[in-house]
Amino acid sequence: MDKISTEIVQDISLLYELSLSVGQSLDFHANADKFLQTLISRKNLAFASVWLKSSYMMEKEGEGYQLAYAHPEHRVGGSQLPSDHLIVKRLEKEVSFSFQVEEKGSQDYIHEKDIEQGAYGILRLGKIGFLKLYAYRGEPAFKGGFLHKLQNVIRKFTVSLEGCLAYQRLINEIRERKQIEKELLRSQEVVEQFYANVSHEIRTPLNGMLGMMNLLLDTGLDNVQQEYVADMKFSSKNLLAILNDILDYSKLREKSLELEQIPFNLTELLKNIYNTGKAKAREKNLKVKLQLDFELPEFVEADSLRLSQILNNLVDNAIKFTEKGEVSISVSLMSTEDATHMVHFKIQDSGIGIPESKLPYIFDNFVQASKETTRKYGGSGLGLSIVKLLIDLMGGSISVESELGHGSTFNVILPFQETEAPEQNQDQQNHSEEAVIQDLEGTRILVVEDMRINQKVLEHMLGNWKAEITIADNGLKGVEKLQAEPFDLILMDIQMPEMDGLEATHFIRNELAPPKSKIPIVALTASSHIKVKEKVLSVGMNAFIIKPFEPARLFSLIKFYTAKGKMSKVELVEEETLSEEPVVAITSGELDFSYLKNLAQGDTEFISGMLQLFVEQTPIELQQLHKNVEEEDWEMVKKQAHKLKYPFSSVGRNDLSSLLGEMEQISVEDPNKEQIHVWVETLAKGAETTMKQIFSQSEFVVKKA
Amino acid sequence: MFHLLRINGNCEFDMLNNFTHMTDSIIHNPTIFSILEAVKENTQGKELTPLILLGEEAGLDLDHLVQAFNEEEITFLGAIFPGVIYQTSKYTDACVIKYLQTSEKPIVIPDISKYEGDWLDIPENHPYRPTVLMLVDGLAANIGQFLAYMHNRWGNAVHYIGGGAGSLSLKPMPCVMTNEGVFENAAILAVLEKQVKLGVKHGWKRIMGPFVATDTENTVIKELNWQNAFEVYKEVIEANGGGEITRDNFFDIAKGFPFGITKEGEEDIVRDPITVNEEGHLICVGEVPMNSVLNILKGDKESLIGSAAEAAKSCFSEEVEKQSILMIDCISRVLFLGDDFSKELEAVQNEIKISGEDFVFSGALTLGEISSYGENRLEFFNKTIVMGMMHG
Repeated sequence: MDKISTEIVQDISLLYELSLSVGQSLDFHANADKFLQTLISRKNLAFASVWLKSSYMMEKEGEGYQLAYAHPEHRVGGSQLPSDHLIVKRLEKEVSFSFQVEEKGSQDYIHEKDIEQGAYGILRLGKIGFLKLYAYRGEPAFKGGFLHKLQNVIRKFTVSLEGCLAYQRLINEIRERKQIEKELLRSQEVVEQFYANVSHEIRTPLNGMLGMMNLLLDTGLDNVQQEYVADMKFSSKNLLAILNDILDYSKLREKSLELEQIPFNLTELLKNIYNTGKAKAREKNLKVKLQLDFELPEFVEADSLRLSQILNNLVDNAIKFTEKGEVSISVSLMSTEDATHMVHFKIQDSGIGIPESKLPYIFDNFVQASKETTRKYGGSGLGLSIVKLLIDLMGGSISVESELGHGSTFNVILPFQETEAPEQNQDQQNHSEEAVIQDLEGTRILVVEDMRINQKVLEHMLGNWKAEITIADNGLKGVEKLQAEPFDLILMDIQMPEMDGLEATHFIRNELAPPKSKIPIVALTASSHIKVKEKVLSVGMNAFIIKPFEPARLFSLIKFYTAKGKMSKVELVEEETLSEEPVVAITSGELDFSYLKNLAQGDTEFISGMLQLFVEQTPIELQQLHKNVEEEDWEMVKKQAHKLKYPFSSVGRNDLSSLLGEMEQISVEDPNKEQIHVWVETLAKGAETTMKQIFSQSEFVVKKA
Repeated sequence: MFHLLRINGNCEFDMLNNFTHMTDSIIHNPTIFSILEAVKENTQGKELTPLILLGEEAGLDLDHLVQAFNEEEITFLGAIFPGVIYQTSKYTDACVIKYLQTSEKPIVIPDISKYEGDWLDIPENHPYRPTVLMLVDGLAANIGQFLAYMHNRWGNAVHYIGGGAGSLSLKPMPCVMTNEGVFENAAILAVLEKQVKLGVKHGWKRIMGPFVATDTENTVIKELNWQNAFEVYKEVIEANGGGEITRDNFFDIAKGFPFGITKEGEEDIVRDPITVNEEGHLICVGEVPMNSVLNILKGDKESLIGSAAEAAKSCFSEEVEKQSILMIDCISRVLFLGDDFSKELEAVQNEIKISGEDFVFSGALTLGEISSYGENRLEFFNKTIVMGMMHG
């Protein structure tokens, strides 16, 4: 090749390589670096820099130009230029120019260090800035119109830099947005944590108040006083329910809530939900229906407590937001696969409905249909959020359909593990009677608790069980008392002054000699948080009980740890007894002989005899009940209600039987004469209708009394 | 002017009657003891840092050598190379010791691939531009990027001279050392308290090109002109009298046909293809940037030996008080020149004589050479001579 051809090939090669080095990255520095390092190396340059208008630079303000890239950075002598600088002025007239360092006036263009000889080439970068090139070897670097040859590649380089700047702006915007979202989430978490902490702090004294109210009711109050205390108790329980909601929500959000997997009777649970709902609906004259699929498994394995919480919440809401009509609960088996039952729960009401615009947000926290809803119906606004989170945790799903003014339907689908019906042994059969005796005579219990109110509740409760009780105000005093006297068990609060329950337990387990170091210790804690559970067990406590404790649970724990070997008996105190009543498909208010028929196995005389007994005895027993109510003999009301439950359920009137069950409970716990009187009237009317229906049927012979 | 003495029968060094000259030592079949004795002898009462250049067949336990220097509390730096140079001879089993005046303790950069140029301080308070001596593991993958960071940080505030350490077997190994230990994939830097005049030449000439390296990865050329690199290379070599080239004889033939990357105003930057893999990718010493434009070079003995003389001339072009020469010469030049390599060294010695001086020069046969071409970008070369003449 001749010299000219060689030079052309060299130029094309260089421009080609430079062209391909442009736009290799969306990062401004990496993009500029790739292009300019190639240029510096091939052209044997000593320095290159990119200057941008300040308005194009991220996070830079003001007029003029900023240094955006330089290599090697060591030569950099300044990083700002005014917008009327000589370079800028000159580039307004021409796209590029070069000069020798030795030329007169060249120093006005030089901002680099250690420049004594050589040449500069300066090129305009479109509207965004300019490029400075420096060659130590001088003019040869820029000879032959090199800057002109470079123009096309420089235009491409400029566009790529603009792309990088736009990309960087976008990234910054996204980052800022994410940061804002993160901060929002953080503040939301802080608020939730605050609510959880405050709720926890309020719950502790509230529990004490509830305990004291229970004790107060046993002190021979007159009717008015009893009514006031009952109101206080009612309000306190409402408040407690809201606080529990907040705590539940907080635990679900931080994923610290653990589900239990225990076998339970699903139909029995559904019946309880139905009965509870029905009692509430009665006040509003609403009809409640429960429809169970015959294929529904009787026993399943899941967290029955949390399932009850979900269903109670949905049924409560349905009743709360329905003024007339009915609420129906339908439960059916969708499928069974790999020992997993998919069960569909449908809770339908004829209530006020939910506006379409609110439907997408109905499971968000603190969301209610309107502000008016909150004022009118109350509640924490967390109920459906908790329901949704619980269902998610259980691996299920929930959806809602609603029409304003025409009611709502909540569909819940939950998986349950197949399980065998638990065996009942003799202990289980007898356990409730055992528990009723509740005798801790001769058991020496050390209560380490700083709050007077809690001390008093425990003093009363344990006193009733005839236990020998000693109280210490804190962990230190507790340890001292344990060293001085013999005890069978310690009930230990966690948070106390001087020495807390964890420290005290640690001291007892590690510093004292047996048998004192081996004494059973039951933690009294106001938190069910899993971390608290882990903590109390890790320091060597044997068990823990959450305040407010159910007396039966406390009794069973004490009994267990003070009388080894009877574990199965006392542990079962907590469990629900299986209903003696038949589990059948229930439809409210309808006469149903299926139970009697099943029992009779074709013996129609037996059924006639049973129906005869019903029509003869029920009016008499109802009259007795009425009398007991009038006399306010609540103990007798309880017994009489209990007596009447079975006759009604035997003829399919489970609605009336449930009402009697409620009366049985309330008559002792929280008797309200007016309320119970209304219920007696309901029962009388229900009995009359039932008898009419019995007389009007022709299948079985029944004589009028 | 100087006398050769022998210590323990196998060590010689130049005893200088002119203290402006620094001493160099060579120890044949070195032991840790003989190295230490030579170092103690030459550094006694002087603030000199020994630079230990070991031939790869010297057979020393480097960890023990470091331990011995540490026990004697002597600061040092050094490396293993395919060979060492002492006057007009090369050795693979000897130890050459140069005594340097350094301003700081040598700096170790343990893994150059992780170096991002953000913690090395610029040498300050020098009355003149100092020189940074760089010993780099010649088989480390990111030498080019590392040198770019270095240059970005120090720019032309310093001169650079150095080379790639390691074994001619091209097996990775710990090969650079200071009192801190022996390192692989590392670099060791020392700031010399002397001015250095550099000469950089190689003598390879373009025979074919340009070729575009359309697919590369660090030191591997996968494609040339969008075709398999080996196929293109083979065609060119065979058409230019290189004979039939296969995977088996690749090294022997390719050592005479390296690649050149354009650097305007200077000789091309040489990239030495040393092997070809099963996919037909050519593996070089030193990085080949993606889309770089390459030429295939060819050398002859005369041009290579002539370039050694030119490099030496560049060093002696100024009237200064010459004190010592460090010669960094690529091992592949030895492989190419064979027995004639001594002529390359003789050419250097001849230039020293022509300049009116008469002192020993020494150095290393390296896997890649480092210099900045004076004021410009710091580069990693192959098949090149980098000569540094230290002066007052």
